[in-house]
Amino acid sequence: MSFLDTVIYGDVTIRSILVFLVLMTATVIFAKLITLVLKRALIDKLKKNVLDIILKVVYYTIIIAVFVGLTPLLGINLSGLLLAGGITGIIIGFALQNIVANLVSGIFLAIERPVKIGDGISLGSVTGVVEDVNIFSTIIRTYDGLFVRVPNSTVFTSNITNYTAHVARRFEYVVGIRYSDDAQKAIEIIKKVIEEHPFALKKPEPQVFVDSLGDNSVNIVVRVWAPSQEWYSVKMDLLWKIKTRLEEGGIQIPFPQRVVWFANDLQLRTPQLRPGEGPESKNQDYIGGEG
Amino acid sequence: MGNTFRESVSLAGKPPYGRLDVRDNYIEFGSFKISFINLGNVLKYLREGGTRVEKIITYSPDTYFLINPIEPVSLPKPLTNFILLEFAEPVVIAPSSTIEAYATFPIEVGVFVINAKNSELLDVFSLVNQKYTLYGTPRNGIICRYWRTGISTEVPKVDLLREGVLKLKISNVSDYWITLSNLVLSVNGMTIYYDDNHVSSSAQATIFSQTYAETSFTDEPLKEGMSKSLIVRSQKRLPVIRERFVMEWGLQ
Repeated sequence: MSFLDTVIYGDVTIRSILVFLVLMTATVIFAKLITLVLKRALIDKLKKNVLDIILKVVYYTIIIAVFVGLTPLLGINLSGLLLAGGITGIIIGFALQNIVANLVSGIFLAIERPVKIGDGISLGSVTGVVEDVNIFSTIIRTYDGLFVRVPNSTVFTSNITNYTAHVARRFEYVVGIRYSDDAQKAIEIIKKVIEEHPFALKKPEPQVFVDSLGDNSVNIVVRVWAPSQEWYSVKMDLLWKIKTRLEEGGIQIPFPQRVVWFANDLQLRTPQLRPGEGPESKNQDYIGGEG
Repeated sequence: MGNTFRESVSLAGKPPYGRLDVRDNYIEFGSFKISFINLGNVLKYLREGGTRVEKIITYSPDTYFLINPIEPVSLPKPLTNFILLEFAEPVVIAPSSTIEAYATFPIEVGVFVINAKNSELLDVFSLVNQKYTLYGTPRNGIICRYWRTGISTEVPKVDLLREGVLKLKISNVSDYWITLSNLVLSVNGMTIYYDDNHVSSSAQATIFSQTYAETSFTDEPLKEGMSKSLIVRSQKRLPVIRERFVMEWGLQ
């Protein structure tokens, strides 16, 4: 009897475990190879999201099918496992409903991964950075530094806005200029400022255009894409640069103003002053009279 | 403490890249000025021009400094490992054919302090402006360093303080005519060579269809006798794996 035939438990030997590991490794490599070949063959024929789903289905189907086929090598009876698991699940489910809900949610969150550690998210009324995703709860550090623990069942059933899940995101300004200013010149200045900023992305292209003719100003909308990691710093940085450069170019951002038209001609009245009254009476001639 | 080094020496007339002589009072690199100030048993590294950088360095006889081009993805801050080259003129490639051409890439300059045991990146600066772009979609794409380049069949004349020459081998293995306007490369595994006249690197691209290509840098100098740059990845002692990048969001 060789070392490889040493029994570990039941009918399971070291040889059978090694065979299982080798076959599973080969299966993973084979599955990756198959998905790579499929990707090359289908990339022009299918939409990317559809192709990704197909590739994932193929990949995991191969691995799961082989895993199930090889479980006898480990002495596992799947039907018995399923039965025991079902009964245990029911008992635990009744006894520890909330904890199990959080646990199961945690497992699904780990699979779906809507948030990762370091992501900036908004979850219900909490906005901040994900510090940790545990099996029972998710820890968020709010932007003002508070520790917030959210049970995983809440995370799983809530609407999550993940600000950093995508590699790039857009922000927008509305810049108002005077009606007397050259809007085309303002647009060119703004585009140049954007072009000079390293993290204002070249593509998707920034958009700068006259959006509306407002009460007090001609409103130019500025839309810029930036890497999600740098989004906020770019947003903070660009606006002041745009303002400064517009002013250097002779373009002003107007204050709110209103032109008032009177139905009748105005009659101007000035008070009648006697000699010696008035602010500069010593140096100026007396001005008086009505109308 | 005063500076006990020899009189001011500018870099004019000297090769811009290579080992730095700390006895030089200062060296000029374009609009940047690098100084080493002797403070007794330590040195102060000072770089002026752009953001001022000052560092105190312990110094021993086996310590030396090296200045050379590095992977152009460190400025203003490291954000990506990819560079996207946009060709000024699109290249149209016949089915089942290969072309060899030259493009350019931006140069970022690294200053290293080195001794017998290890090296450390002290400073990175560049004479060219940085710009970044997105390749792919906001959800699944990647942020890339953006660089617009001409493409030619002869080695282009460039300012070796600002631009390097990239030797490209592009193979179209598909059955279609392919128009190529962009090339995305992973700088993992990028090797850079330099001499007194050129900074160079080389890359290859294999095009499988109108929307799909694989690219990678290759380890090939522009000509014999060029020195190999110490790059950031080798400085970090990471395994230099020549990483292929799959361009799956189009070639234009």
